[in-house]
Amino acid sequence: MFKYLLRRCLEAIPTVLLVLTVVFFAMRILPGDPAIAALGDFAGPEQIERFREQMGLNVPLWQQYVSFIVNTVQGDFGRSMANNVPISALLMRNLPYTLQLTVAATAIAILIGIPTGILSAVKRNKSIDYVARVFALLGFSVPDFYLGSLLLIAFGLGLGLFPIMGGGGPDIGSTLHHLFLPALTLGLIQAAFITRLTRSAVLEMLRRDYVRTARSKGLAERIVLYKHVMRNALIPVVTGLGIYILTTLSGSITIELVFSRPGIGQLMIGGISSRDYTMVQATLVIFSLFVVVVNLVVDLLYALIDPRIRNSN
Amino acid sequence: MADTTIPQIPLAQSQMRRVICELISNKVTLVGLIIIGAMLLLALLTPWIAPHSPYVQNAFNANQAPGGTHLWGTDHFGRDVLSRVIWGTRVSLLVGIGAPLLAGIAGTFVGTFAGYYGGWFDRIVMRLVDLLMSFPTLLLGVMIAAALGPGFSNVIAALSIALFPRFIRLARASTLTLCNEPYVEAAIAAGRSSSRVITKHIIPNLIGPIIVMATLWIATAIRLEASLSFLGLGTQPPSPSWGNIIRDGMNNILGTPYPIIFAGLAITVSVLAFNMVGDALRDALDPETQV
Repeated sequence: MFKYLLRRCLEAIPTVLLVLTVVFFAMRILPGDPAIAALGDFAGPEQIERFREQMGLNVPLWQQYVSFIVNTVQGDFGRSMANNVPISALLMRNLPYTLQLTVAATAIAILIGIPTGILSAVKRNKSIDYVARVFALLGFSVPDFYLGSLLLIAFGLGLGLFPIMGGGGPDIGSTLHHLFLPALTLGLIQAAFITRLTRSAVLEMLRRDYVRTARSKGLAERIVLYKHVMRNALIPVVTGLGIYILTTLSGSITIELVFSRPGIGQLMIGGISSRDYTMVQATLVIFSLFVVVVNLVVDLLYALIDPRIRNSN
Repeated sequence: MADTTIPQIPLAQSQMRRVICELISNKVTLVGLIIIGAMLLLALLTPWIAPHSPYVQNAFNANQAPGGTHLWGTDHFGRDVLSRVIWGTRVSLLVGIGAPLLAGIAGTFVGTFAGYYGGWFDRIVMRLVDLLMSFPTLLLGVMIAAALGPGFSNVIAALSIALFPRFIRLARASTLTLCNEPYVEAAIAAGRSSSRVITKHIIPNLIGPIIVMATLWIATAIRLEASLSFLGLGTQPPSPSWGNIIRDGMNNILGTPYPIIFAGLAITVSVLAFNMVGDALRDALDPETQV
């Protein structure tokens, strides 16, 4: 087991390097000079030259690449081109807000999605099933930022129950108060996906022979459902955890903008509008690392749960 | 739609007829098809259907509630919300259909090439495809758009690149299956050139699943375009798109909520329509997964 863990972690290193390389070159092959973008069209040649020197843009591309990789691995993302603040400090200040949102929304999604999906499958073609299916179809179709704005208009502006901007804190009450609507928005959308997945997984299991056997030998329906159906049906649902977290993370970018919440998405969007090239690059790296790490952790969890995977190769 | 697997079968004529019959006979799907038809009409006939100009500002008329000459009210510049939403239909459909189409065309070529020739090219392509597919499509789209910068054509490019790996994978897998078919082996044995085998025997047979997959991604592409415009990365104001109408509306949320409400409704209804038709299409093509 330990060997498997170690091997998977080592395998992630080339992936991280590949990701960093893609981000680096994606930012460089694009048209536009970052120095002119940051300083504006009217900057003088000396000004541009000084800026390029400051930002390390005047050395050959391969040297830029090496120093980018080395600095990033050490957690140094350089300074913001817009206001000269160290980017790692900004990232550290904003990261907790994005993490809070992602974790809370994923939790809400699971708490709503799995029971709804089970209920929908067990009561197939009853009215509760139709309600659940409409909920799922709507969740696939409503954009998260639209649902967020509606909740903001209704509960924030209309009823005044929740704050309409900011991340809250430092006490936990204020944090939760600010977190509720954004997390609910992303959670509801994600719950639609989980509902659908759970429903089809449970229906699939209900058709299996061993469930018919369990019923025919006279087991109570409750026991058939919990012991035979659920245990197997929930495997694909639980293993989707990585997808839920990453989808919620992508939703956090728009939701941070709707609720004017601090976070990595907010930094990225701010970086784009202020043409802060180093900031955009740093947030792209953070998002990519997040994806690689979540996928790695989920893979390791599979191996813990299912011995077939760790023994297969 | 979230990640969907497409049955890897070429569409036979009779199957196509069965699928179409199945789609039309279902009421929900029919509603979806009617909405899509109406959207296409709106997009084609925009200048004649929109009651007002989407650009003309009128400060005396700002932030009006729905009713009167402005059925859906006005925004903070006094522009007619209904007309702006109707004009936005064009952008949404153009990106919604254009991005999967471009990704489908490019993905078919790269995937077929990788599958047919194999070797180092195949290995590198598949490594990149695996990496890109470990990202959720929305995140990938936003990240690419962030790197490209704002603009309408950049959004199409970003979404096409985000969808690209899925088509490569499908085209490659289909090519590998098709290469084992007797008629392809016969063509190779008869001394046909590789380019002829690919264009005459492989691509015509994998185009069916590719088209189906492109159709299934339209709903997602529309939603992604709206998200990117909302983030300020898509169509730039004053040109209207559903996403940037909501973005504008958020800045004036204390003035009037109606631009947000109606533009969001437009996105929801159109994505819903494409999802309903897409779900039905998938079920009709793959009866095994019907639940």
